[in-house]
Amino acid sequence: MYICVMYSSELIKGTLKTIVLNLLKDNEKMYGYEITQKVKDLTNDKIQITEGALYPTLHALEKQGDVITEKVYIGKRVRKYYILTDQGQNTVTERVNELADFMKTMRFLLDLDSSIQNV
Amino acid sequence: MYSITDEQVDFIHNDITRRGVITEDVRDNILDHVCCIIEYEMTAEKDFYEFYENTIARFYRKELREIEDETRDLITFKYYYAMKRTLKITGATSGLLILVGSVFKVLHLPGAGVALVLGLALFSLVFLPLNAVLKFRDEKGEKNRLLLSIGMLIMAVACIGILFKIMHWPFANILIQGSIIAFIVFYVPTYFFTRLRNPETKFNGSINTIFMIAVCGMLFALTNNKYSTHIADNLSDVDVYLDKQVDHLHTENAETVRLVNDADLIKLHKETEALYGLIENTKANLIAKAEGISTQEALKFQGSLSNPFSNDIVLNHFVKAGGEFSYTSLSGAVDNYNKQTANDSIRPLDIADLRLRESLLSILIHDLTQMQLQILIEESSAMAKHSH
Repeated sequence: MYICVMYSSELIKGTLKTIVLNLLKDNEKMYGYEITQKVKDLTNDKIQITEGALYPTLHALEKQGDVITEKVYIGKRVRKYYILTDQGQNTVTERVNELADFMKTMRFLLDLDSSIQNV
Repeated sequence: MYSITDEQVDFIHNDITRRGVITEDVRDNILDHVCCIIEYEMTAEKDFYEFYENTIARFYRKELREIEDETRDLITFKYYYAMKRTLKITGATSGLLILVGSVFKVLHLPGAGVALVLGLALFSLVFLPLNAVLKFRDEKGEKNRLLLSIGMLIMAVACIGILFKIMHWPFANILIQGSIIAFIVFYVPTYFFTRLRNPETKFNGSINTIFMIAVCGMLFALTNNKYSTHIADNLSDVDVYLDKQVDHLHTENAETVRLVNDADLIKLHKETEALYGLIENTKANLIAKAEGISTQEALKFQGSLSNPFSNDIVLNHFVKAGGEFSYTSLSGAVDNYNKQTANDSIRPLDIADLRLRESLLSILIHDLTQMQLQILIEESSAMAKHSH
């Protein structure tokens, strides 16, 4: 469900929750469009999250209690801001650590350091 | 920055709804997101509707409601594994319990009932419905999903029926036969025709259909299985023989009283006749109600009852009834008989000899005849004593 300019969707699958939670850790509250734009900016358009992937994930995070929402009425429409909960704070730490460890393992497994040196 | 109008917001809201996004939270999110994109990315000279169409197309692969479906799936996903685990555990447990219960039942060992009730209840109330839910989720194609889930639910009802049957609880036949009929009428034809259309499933589908029809037929025939006609006729013969004995003794006693012409015996005969007559009429009343015939016809009734195991008739027309042919009336008559014959060294009658707890029609009639036999024997032995 990603439109990824550089990466295959298989590669990033499973990291979307971590990306969203980590963004919410750094920003007090964010809404959907803002999250997609932020990811786009931060990655220089390398990762573009689609709406079709973002909203199901946000709803799942809300259901799990990692985020809560705050509704703001803008004219005739409602904007939902997502805010990290205390539980979410712990989840984000766990997830980021897990991903970092995974990346380290992958580096070792794929022997990336030496191949980079070879280049 | 483009400024979006209220009419345009309404238009987007209605369009999203029309595309099948009905959950309010999801709809609000998409609406705000689309509005943001339009406000930030659309320039004044562009056509709103065209821009909107291009924007909304970015949200999905086939249709917009994918987002809603995906949301629902993600939310229920974490229950999925728990459900599968429960399915495995309840499946294994219920299978084991049913197996143990049925073996115990055959061997008449204690605990069979408990094991069967637990096993079959778990099987039909947890395992099968859970299976239906999971199949509904996993199966591809709307028709297959519905078909499988409905099949599972019908099976669950049939299993409950079988449990009721094994435990001798009421409504077992209705449950079993009802579910078999539903299965044959709705499930089997739908199954057969959906499989028939696809060349790949045609052969297996036909074979499975035959299996289902055969099993349903056998089960249907088994549900109402009672004693064989052979046994039923033999049981009825026992009663016919008893009736003959009673009739014979009744005529003999009457003849003896006429010949002996003794005041004490005539008094005893009067009491015996009164009670004998009441019991005879009570029996006739029960038969009349059970067979739907007149009391006159019932007095001459021969042969076996159409429903010898009915207890409704016993309850409604004897135990709980009032009037001449009720339990209360008979009980009064027995008391009166005992009182009147107390000096005649007659063995008193006990109304408790009637086995009312089981309250089956044929048993009650049999017991009433036994009562008649007892009073006639007492009368006969009094006559024998008198002649000595």
